[in-house]
Amino acid sequence: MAQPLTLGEIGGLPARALANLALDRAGAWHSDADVHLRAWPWPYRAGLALSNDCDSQSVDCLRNWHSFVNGKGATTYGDGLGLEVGDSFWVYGNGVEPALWKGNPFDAANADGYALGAIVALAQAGFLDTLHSFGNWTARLMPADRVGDPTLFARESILRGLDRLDALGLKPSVYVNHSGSPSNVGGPWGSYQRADNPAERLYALDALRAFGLRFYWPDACTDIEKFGNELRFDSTAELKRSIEQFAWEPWLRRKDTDGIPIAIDLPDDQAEIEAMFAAWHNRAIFPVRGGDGTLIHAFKRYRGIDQPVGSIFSSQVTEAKLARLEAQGGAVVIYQHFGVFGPRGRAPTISRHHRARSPIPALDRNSVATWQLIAERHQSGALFVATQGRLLDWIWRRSSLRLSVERTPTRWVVTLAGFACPVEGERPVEDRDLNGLALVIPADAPEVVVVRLGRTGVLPMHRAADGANHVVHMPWQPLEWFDVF
Amino acid sequence: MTTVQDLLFRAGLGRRPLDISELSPAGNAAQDVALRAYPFPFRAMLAICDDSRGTDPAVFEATRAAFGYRGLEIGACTSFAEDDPCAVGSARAGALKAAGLLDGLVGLPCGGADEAAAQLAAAGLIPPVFAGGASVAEAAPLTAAGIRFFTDDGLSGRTKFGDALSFRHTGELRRKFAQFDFGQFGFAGAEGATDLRAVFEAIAPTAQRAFLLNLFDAPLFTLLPTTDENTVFKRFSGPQRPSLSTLSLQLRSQFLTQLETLGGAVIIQQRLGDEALIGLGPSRERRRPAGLDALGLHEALALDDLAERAGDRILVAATARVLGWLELRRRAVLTIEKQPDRWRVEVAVPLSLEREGLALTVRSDAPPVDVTVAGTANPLAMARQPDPASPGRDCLYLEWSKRLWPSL
Repeated sequence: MAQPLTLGEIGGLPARALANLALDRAGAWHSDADVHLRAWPWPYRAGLALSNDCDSQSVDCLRNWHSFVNGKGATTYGDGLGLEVGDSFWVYGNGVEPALWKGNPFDAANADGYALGAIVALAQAGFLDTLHSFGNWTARLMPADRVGDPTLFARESILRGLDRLDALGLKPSVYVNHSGSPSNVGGPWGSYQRADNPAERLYALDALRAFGLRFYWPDACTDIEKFGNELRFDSTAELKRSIEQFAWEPWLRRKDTDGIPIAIDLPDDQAEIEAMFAAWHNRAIFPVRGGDGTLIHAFKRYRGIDQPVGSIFSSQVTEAKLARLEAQGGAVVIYQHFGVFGPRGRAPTISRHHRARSPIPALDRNSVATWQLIAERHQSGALFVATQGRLLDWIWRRSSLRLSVERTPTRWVVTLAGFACPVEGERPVEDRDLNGLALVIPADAPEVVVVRLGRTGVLPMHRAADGANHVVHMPWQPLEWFDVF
Repeated sequence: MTTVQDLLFRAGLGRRPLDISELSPAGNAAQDVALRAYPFPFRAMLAICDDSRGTDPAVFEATRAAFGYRGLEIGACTSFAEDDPCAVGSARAGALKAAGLLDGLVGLPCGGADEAAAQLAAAGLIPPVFAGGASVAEAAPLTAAGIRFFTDDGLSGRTKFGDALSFRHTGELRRKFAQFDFGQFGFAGAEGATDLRAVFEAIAPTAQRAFLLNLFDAPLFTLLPTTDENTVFKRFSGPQRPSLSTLSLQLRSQFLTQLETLGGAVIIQQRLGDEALIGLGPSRERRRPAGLDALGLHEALALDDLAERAGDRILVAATARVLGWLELRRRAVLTIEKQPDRWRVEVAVPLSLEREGLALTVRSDAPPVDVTVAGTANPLAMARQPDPASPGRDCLYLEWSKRLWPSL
């Protein structure tokens, strides 16, 4: 690592480091090959996922709005929109939130969480694909007689939770920090977070990774102004302005052990620094080192300038922002709490007196219209909407897939060799990786067939015109909502 | 988000880096005596400029009552349709004029500015502000009828809240300027709007930088440097055409706190008589007249928040009064004569500007200060107190009186 910088020194660094950033390294999906993965499943041009933290959201509340957004039947909000929108849950829960166990690990006993059957069914189906950390498992809730007990936050509690997930057949792939939870992951911004800090008894990042949790949201990875990532810029001038406008400050600092803000550590290598800042500016997922030094995928969420509660959803996701996202071919993960009502635009000191947990109806008329707008754009073939785990997996796939093309005058054979990335290593292409597979090919290419390395048989691809090119693709199969309640 | 207009305009700035000395908010604490940025004891200023055309009179009164109940001053704009709540010639317009709250005109009649001037004259109204509904260029002849400040939808800003901000140093200014987007003004396809790009391209290259800095941080300025008669002002609309539904987002706590901290001024564009779905464009927002039940929790809490700040931090006043103050601040010239035991300050301001709330900031160790208005002999009866906004300095001031909404 390079010599530590002061906050003043590091502030201007991103603009300098990225002064000569080329457009093809600026984050938008790009390939120079004439056969390459399409940016999005055909025919979509941009992607959106909801990242809904489960705080204060009862299962009834979850059902109330998901039935409209995900379902297809009649609801009090109107006809269901049939969107693939996921949600999150806890392992340990003390309140109304969906959780596998009632209570914290330091409670005397942990009964099954209420509505466990529904939670398991939705998680097995892939809709609950996100652990919002291990729960609201904070020191302020600890029993008075155990204050200071070092075993209160222990790896064993996380391992027990992972065993429970395994036993129930649940495989969430996304890990989102919850407000102040010690089971959070800090990455390069780590301070209070313990799950990736090997000096802590709660350290368990190795186990989380081994379990299959792939995408991590550390607190710093929050966009306040910039809506979307992987955005395509038309000119270097436009890119430069976006870098100037980007709110870098939260990305460049962390707190030391005394809670004092200090500059983050930087790599020695200038190319690494440039790649890191470029990713923070405009990649939806990117590798970072956890507190234990291992690489993990971090991902960004768009929050906006207000506290992300249900009543501001319509100002978070606007018609103008979606149009821009589609024009720039980007991806956005929306940070929300549909289980919390709060007044629009008020500071926390004011809004906390007017907060409501698990509001039913969960959606106001503005949010209903926003979801209808999203559904319309999805149905028109413009906006790809998927659970955040599947959206992030798609973005990972398109940059990790290795393929080769064997060309004859009458036939091109595309062989999918497998995936390779610095975080997850190498693995072959599996059946689940084929959902929505779409390859851009030249319009004048002869017949194109697609095969998997080491497998027999040709994949059942369809060919269609796609702008100036053609695409061979398999249809995207969305998750189908069902009523488990 | 970067826009084509932003890239184009920035090219007009030239290579010279921006420096804080190029922006000149009032109340320079380094001077022995200076005009205070705002009337005492306030540190920021805000007005809500409401286009009430088409508003149900009952809703109009209900929204005004919501302001008045909280002690918040708000003005009104007259207009030309008979059914409008403050139509030219109506009893309400007359009562508001008497209360000093009829501060604007919005829209033009079919006969344009000339007919507008005639109707205003017949009704005995001289509102100081033209608040859109037609372009500044169309309304410009109303200068002869006494209108002093002009705006239209082309001067509505979508993202930057507040102007005349007191940046602490050049670094802070440059950061804010880097985030600023010159493409934020106006709405796509807006009619009756100044085309800022055309203005920019018509200006001599040597004047473009000043024009751009005005767009960045001046609440009011002269649109074309060649004339002094086109004083225009900017309004903050937010990203969507404003309505009562967007009021709570326009008045975000975060925005208001920043306005206080940086000592800024803002005119908020509103249509309190409309409701619309938030976040959607004109074809989908289902804009409709607001009903009496439209003022809900979000709006009430936003006004409560504003009212709490309006006690002694943000001066909330009718649009014309805010603009009048900013104009006074822009044009006042101080002449200072120092004797060991007494300082004399002469304030020269154009006759058309009111001096209510006139406030000077002086070093706390300054001797007694007599303040006179140029052309008069008697010192003003100014109070003197330590200035809460500037430790180590005192404030000499005339009282600023709040204007209450009249019972009609």
